[in-house]
Amino acid sequence: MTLCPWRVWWLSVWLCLNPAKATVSVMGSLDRHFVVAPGEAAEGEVWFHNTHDRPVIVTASLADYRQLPDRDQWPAAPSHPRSLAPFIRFAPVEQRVPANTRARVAFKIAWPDPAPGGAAEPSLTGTYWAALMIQPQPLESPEAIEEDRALYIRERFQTAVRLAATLPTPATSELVFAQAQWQRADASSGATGQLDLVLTNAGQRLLDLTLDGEWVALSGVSLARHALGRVQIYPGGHRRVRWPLKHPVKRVREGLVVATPTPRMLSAERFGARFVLDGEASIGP
Amino acid sequence: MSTQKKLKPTVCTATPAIVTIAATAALAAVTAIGIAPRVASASETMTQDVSVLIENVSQMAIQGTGIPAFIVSSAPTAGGQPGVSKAPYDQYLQFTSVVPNGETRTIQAQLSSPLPTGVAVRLATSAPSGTGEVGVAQHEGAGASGALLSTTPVDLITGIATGFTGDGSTDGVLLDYALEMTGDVGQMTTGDYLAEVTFTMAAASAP
Repeated sequence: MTLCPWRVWWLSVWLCLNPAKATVSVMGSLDRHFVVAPGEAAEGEVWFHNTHDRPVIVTASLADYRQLPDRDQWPAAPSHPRSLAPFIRFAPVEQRVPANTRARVAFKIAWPDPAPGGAAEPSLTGTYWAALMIQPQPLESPEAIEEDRALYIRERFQTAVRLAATLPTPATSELVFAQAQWQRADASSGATGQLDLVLTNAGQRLLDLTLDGEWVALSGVSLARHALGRVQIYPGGHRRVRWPLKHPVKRVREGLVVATPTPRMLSAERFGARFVLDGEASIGP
Repeated sequence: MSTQKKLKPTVCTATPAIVTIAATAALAAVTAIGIAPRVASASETMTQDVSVLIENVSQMAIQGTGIPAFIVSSAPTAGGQPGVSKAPYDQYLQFTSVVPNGETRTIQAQLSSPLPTGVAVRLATSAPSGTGEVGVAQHEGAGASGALLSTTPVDLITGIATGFTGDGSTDGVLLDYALEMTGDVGQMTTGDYLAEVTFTMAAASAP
């Protein structure tokens, strides 16, 4: 069912009044980490480019970043005890960016003044994080809608720049392989199945890891090695990783997963897990 | 269709480690290439440095005609469910992304505020097309089979690395909205409503 002609005409008029959707191009990394010692500060900038031929209003705001196994959320900050939002100052909150012009938002991350002796507040340890949201808006935005008994959808854009700061004071790093589930694949997929892993950061510091998996045969011989990619898990966060298997399950005895810290992490200490396939899982497709 | 089986005792080890996150500069994807050609000549040698800067870029927009709008009105026959009319529109989500090696990005969609009681909006997309690594659609298909939008973001496109969709009138990811009535339709009241959908581009934190 489509709208009657006069409604289409009115919508066309409304569209003409509605300026092009404002967008900007955000420059630089969307994922920034800092090591900030007690009493010190880290500063940075988020640059963006209004590539259009008309000015836009760009607002900056803070949100929190929450990792669930399958999706990320951006609740209003501060929403959890490790929110970095209380320690971030940024400016300007809102600015008019002329056409074809670059502009920036400057930010500063600073812990509270340390206690006498140079120690951070006892409650501050490990990694804190938040996101700086860059959201462009058109200069004109007609909100009035004629009586039309309609539901209109307006689109907005925002770019999330994750900011994380870690205190170099003692803190725990702990990776938990929280779930492991075998999923038999479709016959058409070419794979036998896949191992679904949910990894949880049970420590106090951000984990930035490269994952590798190895399937081992009943004979103890390595069948295949897979680079499973890089994961970043914030304290309390979860990530799901899917690990495909293309060999006949009956030949496979176990899978090994090794998580190696990326160069971002100063420690070379690795995490590992071994998954034993039992008889049930060894039933072939 | 896949089936799930539980694995037998999962032997897990987690080694505590003291780790410090190294600071990274804001310009993560800056590559400088210096070229200093040698000219084997007896008479004259000239050297010229050429530097190339590749910036880390995140850019998206919507191109197309019309605006997504729905009207809930008369049923086809008395006693039937009110009909839903859809204004003609043709909208494409377009994006450009340049990332550091090994990084990917995600585009999510969410409502800025809840919809009026009694109705829900779904959003489906086409598969991304373009040049380079333009990602994978997570809710590909027609609007009615799309993701149910709420104030909690849903992933629309994942695995975007360095790539671009194109900026032509039909380039990019086709957006297809659908309005449906919910079980609370009895609380639906007349009126005009504006729903705001926010698209968020962010760095992915998993493969």
